[in-house]
Amino acid sequence: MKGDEEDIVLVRRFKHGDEKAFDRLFEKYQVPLYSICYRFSRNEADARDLTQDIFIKVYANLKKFHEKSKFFTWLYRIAVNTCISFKRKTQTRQLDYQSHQETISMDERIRMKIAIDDALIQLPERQRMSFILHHYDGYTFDEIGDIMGISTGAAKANHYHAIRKLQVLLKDLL
Amino acid sequence: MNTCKKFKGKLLDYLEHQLSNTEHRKFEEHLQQCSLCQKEYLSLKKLYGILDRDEVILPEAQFFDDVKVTVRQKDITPQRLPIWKITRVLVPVAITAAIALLLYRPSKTTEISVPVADLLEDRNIASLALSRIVDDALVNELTEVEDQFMYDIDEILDEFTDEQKEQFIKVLYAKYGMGT
Repeated sequence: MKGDEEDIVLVRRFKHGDEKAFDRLFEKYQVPLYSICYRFSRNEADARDLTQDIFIKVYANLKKFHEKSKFFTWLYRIAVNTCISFKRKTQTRQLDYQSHQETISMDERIRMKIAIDDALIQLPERQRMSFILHHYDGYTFDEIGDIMGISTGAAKANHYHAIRKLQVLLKDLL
Repeated sequence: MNTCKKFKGKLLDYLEHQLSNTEHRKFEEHLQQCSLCQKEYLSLKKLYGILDRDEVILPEAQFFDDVKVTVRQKDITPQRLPIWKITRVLVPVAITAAIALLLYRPSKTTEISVPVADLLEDRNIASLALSRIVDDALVNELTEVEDQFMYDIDEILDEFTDEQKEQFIKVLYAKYGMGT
């Protein structure tokens, strides 16, 4: 059974009261969604909060999912919107986190990680999300467009600008 | 990106294997001759190498088990839809309705049993009127708003001021040529 067909079967079972069907969906997407949250927020505590928020929304709204789009598109749209609005609220906290990092003594691996953290967090949110979905999760620009509610061209442009900025931000490592 | 003008924008597609066979071959031939593109290619390859080292350390299994329990305990109230979002749907409808009314003014209006005053005071009646009056296109638009933003249209109606409700009802009345 194809991924989306399997998802739809589970969604329908859940709509008919099968709680285990939700668990199956949860287990299928828990790692990919946590990874997106972590890569977007660059912060473990935020990633945990975000993951929980996303699944709360999914559970509360799954019965309203009308199957007009693929399930993963609907799910990732919730994830993207949750991440983007969450970061807006916690921008100050992120800055505190960054300034703290500067004082850490570090080996090469940690230095690399911090450089990536700092670079990614400086990308505008939509560019960052487009980049994460494409580079790390392998979604096509068509799919990213559907998820983010933008055109394929805009998704590709977001990714292009993200790469260009990352090149500048990480120039010391290149 | 510091590629030569001729192949501007192709380098990323090349790196991600997005070019057609012909374009791919042409770009490879070009790459062997163009020092600017070679330099940029190596820089991007290195950047990709660095970014690929970005690891996600997953939380312990207990975290996901806890979330699975928490989602079932939370009773979340749908967030309120900002007025500008519903306006984004209603303004085009209002404009269309105004144009349609000008062009196709009905000769006879249809009576409905619910007075406007009641519609404005009771959100359930307003909602009922909405469900009876609106056409499929508007229902689809509103459903999409519900799907996309996870809002309940009834909740939105509840949040409307009397003035906004009046405007909303006027739009529906104008569009469907109904009288009170």
